[in-house]
Amino acid sequence: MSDHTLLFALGAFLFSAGLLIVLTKKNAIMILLGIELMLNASNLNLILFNRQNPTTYEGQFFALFVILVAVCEAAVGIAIILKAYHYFHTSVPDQFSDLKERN
Amino acid sequence: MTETIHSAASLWLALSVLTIPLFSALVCFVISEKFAWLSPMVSSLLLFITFICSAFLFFQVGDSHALTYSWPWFSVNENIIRASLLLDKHGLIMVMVVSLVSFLVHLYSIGYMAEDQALIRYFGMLGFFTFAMLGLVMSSNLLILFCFWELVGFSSYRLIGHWYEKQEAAKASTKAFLINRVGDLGFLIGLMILWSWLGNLDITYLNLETIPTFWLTTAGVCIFIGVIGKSAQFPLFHWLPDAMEGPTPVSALIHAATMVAAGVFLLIRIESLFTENTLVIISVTGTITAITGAIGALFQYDIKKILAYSTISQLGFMVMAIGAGAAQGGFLHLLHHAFFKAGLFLGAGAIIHAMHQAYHHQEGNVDVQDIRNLGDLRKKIPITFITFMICSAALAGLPFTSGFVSKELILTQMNEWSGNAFSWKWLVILGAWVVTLLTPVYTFRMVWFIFFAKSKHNVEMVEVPIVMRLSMFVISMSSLALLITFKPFHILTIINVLMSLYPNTSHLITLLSTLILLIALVSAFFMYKNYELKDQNKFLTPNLYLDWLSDYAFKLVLQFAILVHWFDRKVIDKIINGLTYLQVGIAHVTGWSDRYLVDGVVNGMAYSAKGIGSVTRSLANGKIQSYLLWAMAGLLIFILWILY
Amino acid sequence: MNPGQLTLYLFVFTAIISVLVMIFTRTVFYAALALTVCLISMAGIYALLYAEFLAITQLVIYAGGVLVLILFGIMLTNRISGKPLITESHHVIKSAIISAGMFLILLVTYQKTSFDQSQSAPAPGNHINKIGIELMSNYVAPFELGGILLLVCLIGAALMASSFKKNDHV
Repeated sequence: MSDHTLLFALGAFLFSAGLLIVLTKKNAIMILLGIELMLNASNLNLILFNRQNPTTYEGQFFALFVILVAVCEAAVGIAIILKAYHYFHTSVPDQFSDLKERN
Repeated sequence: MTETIHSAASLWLALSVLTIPLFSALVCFVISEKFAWLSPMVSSLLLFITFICSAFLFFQVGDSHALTYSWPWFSVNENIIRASLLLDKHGLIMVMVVSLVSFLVHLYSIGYMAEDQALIRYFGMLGFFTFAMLGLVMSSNLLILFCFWELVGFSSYRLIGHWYEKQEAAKASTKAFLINRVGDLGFLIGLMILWSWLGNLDITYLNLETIPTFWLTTAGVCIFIGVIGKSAQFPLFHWLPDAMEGPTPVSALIHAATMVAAGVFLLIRIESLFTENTLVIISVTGTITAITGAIGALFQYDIKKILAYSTISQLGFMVMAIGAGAAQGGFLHLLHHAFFKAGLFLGAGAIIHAMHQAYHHQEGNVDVQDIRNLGDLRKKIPITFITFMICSAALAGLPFTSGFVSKELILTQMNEWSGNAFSWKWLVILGAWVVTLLTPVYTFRMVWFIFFAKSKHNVEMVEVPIVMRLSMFVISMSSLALLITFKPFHILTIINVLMSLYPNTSHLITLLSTLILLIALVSAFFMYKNYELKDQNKFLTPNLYLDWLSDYAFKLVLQFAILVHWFDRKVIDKIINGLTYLQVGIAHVTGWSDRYLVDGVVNGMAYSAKGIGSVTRSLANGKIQSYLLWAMAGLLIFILWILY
Repeated sequence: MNPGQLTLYLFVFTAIISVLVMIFTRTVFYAALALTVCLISMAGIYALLYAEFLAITQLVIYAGGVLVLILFGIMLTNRISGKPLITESHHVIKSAIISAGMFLILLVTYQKTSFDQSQSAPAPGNHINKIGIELMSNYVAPFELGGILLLVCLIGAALMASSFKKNDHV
């Protein structure tokens, strides 16, 4: 098993772990953490792809812009969570039920 | 005789004639409520421009060949439908008449509708009405003609129902619209037959040899049914008297130039389409309509209804003439009738307006349209009197009026058509003579009781506003034969073209018709001189016998229903009782199987549905993450499906 | 096994451990710290893959910026109770199946893809210099657009998180 195969497997593992966190954890902040993890896994992949063609930096730039968008997403996500916390006094999305039909 | 000439000037003129009324309608609809008072002036001015344009167009095209302009519109199965304009002699004269009458009606309406609340709607629809009629006259493709035909029907519906708060007006407009639908259905079927045989609906390119005679006759009769509806022929004419609920200028427009003239004009346009048999149907229908209309007009008391029945009669006369080989005379009569009938309606409107003003200050409710309440008006409103008299003379067919000329022409041509041997054609001719006898009688009756007879009421009256008098004056002047046929004017192209429509009439017929006219007038004078109008005759209800006929048909159906009821009681019930016992037996068996077999299945299905429902309901639980979970599961399945 | 490879295995190991901690811990604060560890080890892997600029960016932005932001969020949403923020889990089995499925699919896909192994030798020279030149020449439009996006997001986030209206729901 070469190093690259190991790193691809690591990327796949990180992505799946992020997905698991997003799906299972109830807290909104944990969901955000999971998303960050998934984005990082994709970054790792992009950098590995870049290694196939080291003279250009396309993969690295792609990863850079992914980081940039991830930052934006984190900032807006935290802001939304804070606002929702103000309103609902909780950061668990399942309890945001103002628009839900009562049953 | 058709030639495609790409003469830009006449094309632009034709297009502007077509679009200016539409523009007028648009202007009226976009103008704000604050400037509503402007809309009568603006639209009258625009219609005047339309008239000038149409006159220019007429002089430009003049006596030469017909012009056509066509553009491909869309295609069905390699058959290209072309949007096309056809400018020929008949069409251009009609365009001029329509725009002139419409302009005068606009002008008249400024005075007549001055106090109306919905000026914008009124003038907008008036402009639209004119646009639809002009489009109908100028279009060369029967499909487009049908579109405009429908638009004419629609705008007349809107205008008849202008005072829709009055229940009669709303009902009358609906009635007019629905009865027209019956006719339009016939028209549409006729067009379909033509299309299926020819694959082409352009009037100028109809290749009639390829159709079997039977289908050509059917198509002609179907299209004629459309004409029956639109031009108020027997038996679809009873919408026209009801349509009198609309404003009087609208009646003038409907009766003179736009609505009912459309049918007769269509007959002239597609004259080549009619076979021998179709022409028989047309002439017989026309004769029946002409005589019923004339008899109806003899017994009405409402001015506008008298005029309506006279219109029916005159339209019947024209249709009869077209069916009887006097198409030229029929067309000429259509033009003349447009002017004198518009004049009569404008005059009637003036009388109603003046009487209304007069009674405005008095107490009590007097029906100002009833000729029993009128009388002795000739000194009170002299100008209205004079114009009304000229138009009435034209209607009655007095010499030196336009009505006389066209009547002579029709009678002469029909005489040539009938031949010497006795046949059913003589009956049609007899009908024509009866109509020429009846027309002066009812005209005299109307004029006598409006202007000459002693009045029961004595009120002060003033003449109507100057715009109304002006338009009445112009329109009545154009009913005088001198303006149309007097020789010194023949340097003008218009006269030239019109002159070509007048062949020589036979002197014998002129003498005979004048004699009949005299007899009619004298007898009418002695009949009505000391005659007091009684209350309405029970047998001559406003709709003639049609309402009574439908009552009778209703009773017949009722009797039949009673018979059916008896049969039902005595025979069918016995059979049913026998069957019932059998049924009960079967019912016990089915009841058992129902309870144990069907119910079991149904309950099982219900339970399974409930189970599926609760499963699917649990998916839509409003929690983000469970949605995400199922979305990811779906994505996984999707990826697997894509990859393997 | 050379020292570079040994370091790589070390970083991979820490990343996996920290992610496992993230999955199994119930305290959100610990999870955030574990994510920090994971991201730092990722930065190390980046550096070993000759992407030094990204490694630095990862350290500065993620470990320095985003994680601090998230920790703020944890503390702000926790201020009333004072107890550590505990999170529950749900749909554990279904999610585990789906994640495992995803993992397997990714692995199989990598296995089936044939990568060109010949060019994987490290390119000589100063990467950071070249990246800087590329960023200011060929990639200047996405760079500027990214800047605008960042600005907009920060202003929007600040606006959303602050409460101008005092009579809001509190």
